[in-house]
Amino acid sequence: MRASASAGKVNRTYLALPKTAAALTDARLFQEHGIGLFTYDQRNIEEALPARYFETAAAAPREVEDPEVSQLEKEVQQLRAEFAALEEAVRDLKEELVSSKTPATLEEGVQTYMPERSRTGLRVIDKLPAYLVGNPWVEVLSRRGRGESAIVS
Amino acid sequence: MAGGNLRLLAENSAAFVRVPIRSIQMVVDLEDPLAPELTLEDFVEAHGTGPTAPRHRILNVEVLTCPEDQQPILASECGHCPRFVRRFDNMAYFRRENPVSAGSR
Repeated sequence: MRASASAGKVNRTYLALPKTAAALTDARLFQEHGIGLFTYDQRNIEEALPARYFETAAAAPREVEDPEVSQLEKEVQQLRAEFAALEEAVRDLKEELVSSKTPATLEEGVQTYMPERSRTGLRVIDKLPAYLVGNPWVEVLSRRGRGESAIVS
Repeated sequence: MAGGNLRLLAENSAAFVRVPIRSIQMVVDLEDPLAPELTLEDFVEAHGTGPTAPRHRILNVEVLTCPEDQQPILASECGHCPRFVRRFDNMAYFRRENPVSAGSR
């Protein structure tokens, strides 16, 4: 039964039987399924019935077992997964950027309503220490002071 | 295609002998050891009825003529013969020459 299941999936299927068993088994049964028969005894082994050659079975494994194609398919799948992950990361970064920009514009709006008096009170320092140059906290802290003075006044 | 293959098989050449296998159904009486073993047809003719299950058993005996000595043999005995090739469609295929004696020549 197992041999008949493999017949058609491979090029040729053979059964090997001892001669004593082959004398009791009608080889027509094997021939109907395209299975070949080998018989053996203590002296020799011989092909009692040639197996049928299955053409269709030869093409199928070649398609599946091509290592280059399977390797390329794997690589394409990996690239697709990486691309999807990158797209998601970019989307998240965009959202973060938009949300971080929104409070800054509001603060700028508040600045326009600040009194002239407090602005003029600011001194411009020409030479700042290196750790203050380009430090965003300087701007934030300076605004905080102005805001508090505005509330007090 | 398959028919073409069959025609080209070596068994159809002069190197092989084909011997028909005959199947005979025998009725055995398990209770009476002196009762003769009859074929199913003869049993029905003799008793006027078919064999009954616990007492009688039907055996299928496959026989053929041995190409070596022209004696009747069981099909199961062919497996011991070096000339036997295969059994196909109730025919036993034998080599015309014994491979053992041909090899020793």
